[in-house]
Amino acid sequence: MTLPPKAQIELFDSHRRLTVNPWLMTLSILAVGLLMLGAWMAFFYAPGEKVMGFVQKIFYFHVPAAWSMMLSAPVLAVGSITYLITRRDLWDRIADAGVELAILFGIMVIISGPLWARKAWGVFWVWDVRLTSTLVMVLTLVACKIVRSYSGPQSKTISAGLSILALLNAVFVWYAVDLWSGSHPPKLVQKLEPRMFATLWVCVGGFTLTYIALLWSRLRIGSLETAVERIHMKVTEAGLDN
Amino acid sequence: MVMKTFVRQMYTRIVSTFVLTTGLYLFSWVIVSYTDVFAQGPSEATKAAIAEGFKPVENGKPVTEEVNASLLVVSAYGMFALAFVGYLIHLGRQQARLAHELVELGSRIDAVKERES
Repeated sequence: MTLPPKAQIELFDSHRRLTVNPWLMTLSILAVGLLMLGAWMAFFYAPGEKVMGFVQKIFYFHVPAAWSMMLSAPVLAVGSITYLITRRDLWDRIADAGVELAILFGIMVIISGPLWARKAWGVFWVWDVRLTSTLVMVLTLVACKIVRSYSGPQSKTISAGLSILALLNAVFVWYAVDLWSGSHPPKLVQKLEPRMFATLWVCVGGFTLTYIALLWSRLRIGSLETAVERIHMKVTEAGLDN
Repeated sequence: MVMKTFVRQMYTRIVSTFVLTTGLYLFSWVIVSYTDVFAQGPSEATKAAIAEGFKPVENGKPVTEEVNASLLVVSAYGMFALAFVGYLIHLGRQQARLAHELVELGSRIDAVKERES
């Protein structure tokens, strides 16, 4: 009894996928470099804000984190909707990666925002439209991950459905500030002082590259997970599991 | 010869320690001085011109002056670093688990091949 040649090739290919990808490595180095430059610019290049003072420095990482969370929306849309239509694992893996990254950046936004608010508003949290809708979106995405981990065979479908719900919420989060004037500051990017503007864009660039590098890494791991599952099945079918 | 090498090593160590300590001192000094500058609260003149979205909310007004901004900023940036590092560790652990599984599968297949040959 031997393993079919196709499975052996897949095993070899999976080993190859564990090696370092030079493009991913270059992208990661660039991303880390830009993030470090952004942090340096935030503290030593951008001028201090005259009304808020030092606490305004949170803005340079808070806004790019929110931007990165929103980058997950198209990833979720493509992954979840295409999975529901085609039922192919590839799209589910893309949606899952998007969910995980949206949670990561969403948590950053939800923690850093209140830290700024404590100084500016005097309280950590207000039930403003944008804050509440962002919290609901992150909680929906956490529910996606929980469903995926604990549900049965239908978990991928339920997770895709919840992702679409989170996606609709993302649209709501984006336009909340324009539609309702709550406590959250309006979009002020165009009115920024040139050095503040440059700092913000370096940070946005750093976060965007980091997002792409993390998404790429997560997709590589996802495809490897599927390959390992397939090899396990073939090993069992060939009677080699003892 | 041995003495010469020893002296050279000691010299290198002393110089590198001096450079590192001075660098660290200067770095700390820059951070502390910038923190002091930015940690100062808004002046009386600017307080009146606070735009919508940046004003203290109804119940929060009395405490905004007492809050330590430096602590909030350090906490926020610390949290960003922790989140990135934490997620990278999560990815690394997943990859290590898969690598372990692949090695195990490979060795199982090799053992069967050996038995058959």
